[in-house]
Amino acid sequence: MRRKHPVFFISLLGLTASSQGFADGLAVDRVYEPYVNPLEKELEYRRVEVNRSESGRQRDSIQKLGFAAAVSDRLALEAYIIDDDLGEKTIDAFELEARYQLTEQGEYSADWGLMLEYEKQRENKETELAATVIIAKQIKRFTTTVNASLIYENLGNDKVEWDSQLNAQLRYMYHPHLEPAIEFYAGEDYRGIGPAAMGTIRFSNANSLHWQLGSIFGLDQDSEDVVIRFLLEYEFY
Amino acid sequence: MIRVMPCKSNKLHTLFLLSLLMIMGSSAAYAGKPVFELQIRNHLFEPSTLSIPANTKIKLLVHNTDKTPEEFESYELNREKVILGGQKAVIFIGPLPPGKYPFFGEFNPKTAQGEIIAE
Repeated sequence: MRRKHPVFFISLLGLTASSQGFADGLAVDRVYEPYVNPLEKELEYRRVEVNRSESGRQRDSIQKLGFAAAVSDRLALEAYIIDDDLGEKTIDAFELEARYQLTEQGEYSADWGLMLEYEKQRENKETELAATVIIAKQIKRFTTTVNASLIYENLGNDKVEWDSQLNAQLRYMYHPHLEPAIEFYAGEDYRGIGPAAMGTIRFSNANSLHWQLGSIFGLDQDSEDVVIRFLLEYEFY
Repeated sequence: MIRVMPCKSNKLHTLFLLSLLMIMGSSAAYAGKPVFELQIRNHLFEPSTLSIPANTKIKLLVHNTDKTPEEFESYELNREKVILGGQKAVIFIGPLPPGKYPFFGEFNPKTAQGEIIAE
């Protein structure tokens, strides 16, 4: 089964290459790791601030609040409520996420995971389904993580799009409280790269608080000038 | 993945993705890894010091004999693994350069402490 991963990837890439474009969602989000720990639960808050320039785009920020729980030693489920500046409602969308750890950490030359996401807008019939392959590879104190997504979007009125998205991160394990990183995001009409930092503060009873902060700079005229992303995640058992 | 941008095709993205996957996708298993065993008993690791060969990937079999779960945690090893009560877990470690790599049980950090020595 595990040796079939390259075949799966070639298939995924074939689909990706034949798509008409890239995901028209906001590409800057978070870079997922493939690991799942049994019994673990998480409360998560994310905020993404977009610095608009001449592009005239309308969104300034997106907020997500999520709750995750591992339901086995390989599978974690998470549900989000989403607020964005475009919608008139406080909660503009819902998202469900399932993340599956395919290989044990360090078992192969890279660690593999798979994630499925479903998002539903409240104000219209738009839905989105995304399949993401998660790959992480550690070389000494550096960890490279890649999230490659294939996205199906139902925009309503029989309009359907196939898109793809790539999120990548190079992280240096400097200290548990502070790990610098470089992140790259490529989505529909967006290419951005920039520095990020993250860390984990541990409390008693195996609880911990994980934080991430990143500022991603657009690489071309179509991309937003600066996107700031912030994440807080409280892990508990 | 909320909508914010209009559609535009770009093959650069796919080429970059393909290159990364080719580099990272060679997930051949390492055959014949040495196996080491560790037990968790009364919230203690036994043995608390484990010597392994340097520059060699090893398979660490951790058996939690307690009724409560424990988490094998080590920032230096970049490993975090919950082992349920009465169960076993496999943790792949290395290859490590010579040195000392502390680990602890996150549910009982004051008692469950140990060290892996790569030599």
